Amino acid sequence: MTQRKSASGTGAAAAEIALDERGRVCPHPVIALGRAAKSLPPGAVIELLADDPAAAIDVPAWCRMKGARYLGAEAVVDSGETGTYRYRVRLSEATPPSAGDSV
Amino acid sequence: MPVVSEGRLAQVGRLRDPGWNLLWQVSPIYPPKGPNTAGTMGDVIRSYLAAEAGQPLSPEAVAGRAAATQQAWADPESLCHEGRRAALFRETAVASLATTFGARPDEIHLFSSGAAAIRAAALGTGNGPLLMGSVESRAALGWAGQRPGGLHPCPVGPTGAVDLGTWRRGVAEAGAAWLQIGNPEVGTAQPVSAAAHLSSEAGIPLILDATMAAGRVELPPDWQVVVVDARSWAAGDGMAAVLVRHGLPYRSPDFPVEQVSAWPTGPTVADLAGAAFGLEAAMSGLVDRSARDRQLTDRIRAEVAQFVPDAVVHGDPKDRLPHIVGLSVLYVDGEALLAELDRRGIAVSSGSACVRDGVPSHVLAATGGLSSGNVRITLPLNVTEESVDHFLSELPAAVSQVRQAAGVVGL
Repeated sequence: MTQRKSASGTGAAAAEIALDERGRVCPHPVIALGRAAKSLPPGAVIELLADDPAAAIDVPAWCRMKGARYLGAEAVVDSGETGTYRYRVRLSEATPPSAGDSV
Repeated sequence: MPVVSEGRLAQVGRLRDPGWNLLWQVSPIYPPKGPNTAGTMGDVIRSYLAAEAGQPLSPEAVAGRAAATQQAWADPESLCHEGRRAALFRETAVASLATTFGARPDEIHLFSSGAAAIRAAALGTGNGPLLMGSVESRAALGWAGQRPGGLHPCPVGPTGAVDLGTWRRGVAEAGAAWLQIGNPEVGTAQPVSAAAHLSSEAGIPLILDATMAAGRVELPPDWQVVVVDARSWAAGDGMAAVLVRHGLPYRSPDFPVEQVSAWPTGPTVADLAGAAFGLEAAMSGLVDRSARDRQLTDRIRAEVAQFVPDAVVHGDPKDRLPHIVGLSVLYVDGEALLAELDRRGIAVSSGSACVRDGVPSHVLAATGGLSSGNVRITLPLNVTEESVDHFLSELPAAVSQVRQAAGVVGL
């Protein structure tokens, strides 16, 4: 799957981070995504490497819940693992809502 | 223990239609007293909301089973007095099931489990590919793949309802079509009448899987083939059936047609009597129970959205089965949440991967619903409002507890 550029034009300047969650199962890949999102500015692009089959469902679902944009996933070959994908998401351009009440 | 006298048996034998009143009177546990979904275990109040995994038998089902166990223990095929009495129970039970479902007794094909009935309906109805939505039960999808024509899959939308555009094209290529009344994981009702209209226009039979719905919602009166399981109306294990309208292309995958009514793997007489008593009771109270169920699940849907941070409620909010809710909670391990709720006295189910040997629910995969922290609620037939109150009062704290234990705070 191809990785699409942001339509907003601010994507090139945004910070990027790559997370490696291979070997970890749900809900950990999505928790890593949530932690990274909290530390990054709006519009940042996050890459997530994961081999948990639930990530294919939960990364797009996380994007919908958090107003982020799901940029797609590509299969990672030569990693020695089967079913590893590199997911890419772009955080919402809007300021994220206060997270103080989420527990 | 009461024994049916000759006179009493003769009276029973004269009854044309369900002779239950007399059978009830000889049951020592008549009138039945209600077991409940909420009970106590030690000092912990238990609230059981996982009816898809079995549920407390209704008092009527218990009474039916008890009556048959006491009086219909003989082989119904044997020609002695006791055998005839067992046969009478069996025929009365089948006649009652037929009447309640709006079928003729010869339109009921009996099985000893829902899985066996699903297999027979998926393998035995029509020829060629079987058109089926991607959120149907794993058993149905699996058996459809074993047909000579295989499975003809139909995608679903985000609520889990089949896409009628694809369905319309699919019925032209398939030999039969299959649809659940509603989805047992997310609750969404399928567009049964529109789908039935399209399959009928194409001249293929539609099999309705009502194993999660019979006794809880009305079946469409113009059904062609229906799969039912007595578990859904709280009558226990051991009785399932495929109802096939006379003249439709069904043949048993196991026996020549003329032997289908033999009973090598069928329900016992007690299973049938419990199912028949239980179904009559479930159907007679269906309108009130269904309204109560909808009110309770509406409350669950609203309060989860309001009081549990980062939670999503699945399925169509309006067009849905009244007794089912599916929801998922972000940043939570489904197995840990089930255990925390169980510790607090609440039993629910989950389609999360960690609860299912690493494979997330195919329903959530097909609908794109969050699979982590999934909770499935299926209200039992005789659910109490207190059970739902209990669940709603404990869920936010249980979620918070699991998140804190995992160090997931403030995301």
